[in-house]
Amino acid sequence: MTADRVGALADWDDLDERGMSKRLAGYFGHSLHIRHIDVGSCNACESEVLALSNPYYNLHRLGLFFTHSPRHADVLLVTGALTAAMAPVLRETYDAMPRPRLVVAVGVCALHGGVFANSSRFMGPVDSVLPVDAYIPGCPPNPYALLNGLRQAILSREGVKLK
Amino acid sequence: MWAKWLLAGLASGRVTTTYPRHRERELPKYRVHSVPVMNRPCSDFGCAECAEACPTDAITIVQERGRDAVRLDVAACIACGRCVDRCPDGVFAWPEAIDRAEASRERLISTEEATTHDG
Repeated sequence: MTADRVGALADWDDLDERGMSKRLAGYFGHSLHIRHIDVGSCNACESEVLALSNPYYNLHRLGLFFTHSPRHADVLLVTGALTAAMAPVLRETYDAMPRPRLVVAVGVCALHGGVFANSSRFMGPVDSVLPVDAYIPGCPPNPYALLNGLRQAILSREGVKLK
Repeated sequence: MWAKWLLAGLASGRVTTTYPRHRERELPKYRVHSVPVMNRPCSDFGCAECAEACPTDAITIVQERGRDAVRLDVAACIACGRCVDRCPDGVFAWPEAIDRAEASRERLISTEEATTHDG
């Protein structure tokens, strides 16, 4: 590794396809279902989230799946700047999810507001409304960052046992 | 017909990324970038070129333990790259790891204390 290479990369051997399934088995029953909610996005983040399920990134190999109902979901993936109209909907979606539940905030808009931070209809970052387990910066974050964010969220629940 | 497809499939090998396992091998294939990092301390905090250039106020000059410091909050960073281009010191750089994600909000904020040239 040369000196001009910034932001060191190191291999993770803690999480491959079988390792992920083993970790998930302890507290989510071998697979993790993701509910994606758009609370006011420009659709750049949606484009990256959709790329996760194509044959190249293929998040299903890790035991991660998208679901259409929050009642079936373990992870709430929030994209976009939280608008006044979507704030109660986000709350309802979160309340409908069974425990244990994780929240992953995706993109600058969900984390801070970014270019929409001064808008009158912007209700604040997602972590002011819900407890967020992983933060993914970027405008938009690339699919690798999304996979890393989901990994961080799963690792944050290690040792937490289901009742 | 099926033999042609079978051979084509065997020849192309695995197309799906092996990302979480072989992170070091997967990521450097891409010349894209996510958010910048601060890789060296700022030598002239009076210039504030970065804070002026930042469109979302992700970069601010703050007081840290009685000294001026550059604060970068990547939660607000839209990766426009103006700080990387305009900083005369080269404080900001594109990191090699394009998969940045953190488990806490505090870890998205980095602060670099200003240093003088004579140390």
